[in-house]
Amino acid sequence: MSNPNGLSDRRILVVEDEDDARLYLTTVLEDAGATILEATDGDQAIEVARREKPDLMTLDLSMPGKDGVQAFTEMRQDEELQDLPICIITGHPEFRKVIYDRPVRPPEGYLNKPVSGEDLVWNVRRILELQERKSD
Amino acid sequence: MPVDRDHYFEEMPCYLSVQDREYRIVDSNRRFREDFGDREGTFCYVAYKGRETRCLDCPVKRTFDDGRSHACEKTLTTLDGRSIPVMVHTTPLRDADGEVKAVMEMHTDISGMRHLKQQLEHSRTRLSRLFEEVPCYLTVQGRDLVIQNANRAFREAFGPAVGRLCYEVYKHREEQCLVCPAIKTFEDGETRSHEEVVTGPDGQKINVLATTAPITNASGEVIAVIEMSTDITQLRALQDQLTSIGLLVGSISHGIKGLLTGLDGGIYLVNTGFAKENPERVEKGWEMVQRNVDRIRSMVQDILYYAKDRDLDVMDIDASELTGEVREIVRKKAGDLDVTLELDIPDDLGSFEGDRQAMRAMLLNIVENSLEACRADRHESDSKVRFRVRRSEPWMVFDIEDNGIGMDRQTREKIFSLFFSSKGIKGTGLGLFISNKIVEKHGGTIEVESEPGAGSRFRVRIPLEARPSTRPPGGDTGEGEGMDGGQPPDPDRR
Repeated sequence: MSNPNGLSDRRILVVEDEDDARLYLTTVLEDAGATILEATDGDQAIEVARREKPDLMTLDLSMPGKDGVQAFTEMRQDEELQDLPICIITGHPEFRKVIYDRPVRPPEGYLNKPVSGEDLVWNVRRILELQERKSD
Repeated sequence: MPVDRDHYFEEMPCYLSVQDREYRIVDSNRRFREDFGDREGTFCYVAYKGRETRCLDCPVKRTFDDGRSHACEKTLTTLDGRSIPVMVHTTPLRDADGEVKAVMEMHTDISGMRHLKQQLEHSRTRLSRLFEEVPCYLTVQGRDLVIQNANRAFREAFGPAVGRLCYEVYKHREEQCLVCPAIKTFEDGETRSHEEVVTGPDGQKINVLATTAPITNASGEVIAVIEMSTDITQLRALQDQLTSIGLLVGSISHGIKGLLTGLDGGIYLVNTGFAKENPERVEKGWEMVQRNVDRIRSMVQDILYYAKDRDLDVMDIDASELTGEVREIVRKKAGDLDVTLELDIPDDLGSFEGDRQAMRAMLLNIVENSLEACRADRHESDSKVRFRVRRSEPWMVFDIEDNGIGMDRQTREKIFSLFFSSKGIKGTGLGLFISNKIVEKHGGTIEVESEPGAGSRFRVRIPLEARPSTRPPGGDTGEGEGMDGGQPPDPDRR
């Protein structure tokens, strides 16, 4: 990792139904210093986001129950959650259009699987930096 | 301008002659004299036809006999030898007492008309031949949708049809189709196209593209509809195959990405585990690598099986032995997932006929599917899969029951469809599709009972004796193809 402490003090909610992929994403982000929260479907993601108010969410799209597309749209229309930065991580590059065509603000990041640890941390850090600049 | 009435007779643009009772010409007009000469006093049959005796069918005679006008077609021969087809009309000429004294005969040249008639007949024959031989199904329907005419291709595919209702013949239906292009054409006189699946006399389904066009009368009113149906069954089959391939590629590509993420994860954990001297992390990572390699193997085998429709290798299978093998293979997975595997497999099940490798793959797919359903149910702490086998003549019955997440109706109806998966990256959507295909090929059935949250039960029935259709011709048991020949997925997935 280029900057192992790049995400220290950051709280990141990893939403991913597949155990192996979730363990991978959480370990990489944890190793970069982040504190991790987890959810395995859209409903759980919204619930944890509302309760824990993380700094950023990584969101898988294809999940059983409420999928990522639906959860993303709902959060963007929710007063309390609409400002939460979301980085989509999916094996469906073709869903990009579906997501960007939603009548809501587009996601802050869109990564295709498989994603390398370095790319993941770099993108997450960059989103958080831009977010900080905006709020300054 | 007053004109002498004799002048009309003289100048009529046809042959006019007057005959007495002995058939002698007593008067004639100018046209007659021009072509037949001045034949006053000559028998009409001599003058008109050069005959020596009276014609057999003589309209003049008939007029003398009944005092009425008559008409017929004749061919005359002129002085210079030309044959002229004519329409003959006769009319009686009466004296003051009303007695027929003579008959006037009028011959109108119809050679132009006859030529037109021949052309019309020729066109009609050509049109009829075209209608008959055109290589698609053609019918003409009236407003009541009764078939008035059908061509050869139609009759050969659907049997006699004239006088029957189109939906009866085309679809074996008793009521009109919901979407009927013929009715729409009757309504607005426009040409319509509609894709339909119709049924041949042997029950085979035929995909057709039906196009209707109006047949109008002189005043533009639609009096019938011509329906042309082109057989596009092969085209559709090809399209379905292409769609399947497209879906397969999409499904595989998504599946592979998920598996690569899992592999990346495993490698990351192993590498960082070593770097951090954390053996627990290394072990976790290595398990991830193994698990994802297993999944890749199983996916590749599913794909290979799908890629080639393989003949069954039918043999006697000892049911207890087969289910024992399945149990051994899934035992570890059940342990890993913390699912209790309950078995009810009597020793005296005996044997049944089938393709051993395909049977094993089918049972494994269903049992593994049940284990996954338990794993997906995060609320159930006491996850169980019950595998029960019994012999119930003439079937071998396999029941696989779980208390996992269960399925709603929509999912239940789709589980055997190609590429349907509710398992995210873990499924290619091939497993249950292939299982169903294997059971069908053995002449068996799969039933599914399931409710969300209440688990699922799969009941597979396989006939104890292989159906004739499942036996290879001549009792041969197939060619024993290798892996790339599309064997059923290798059940040895540990």
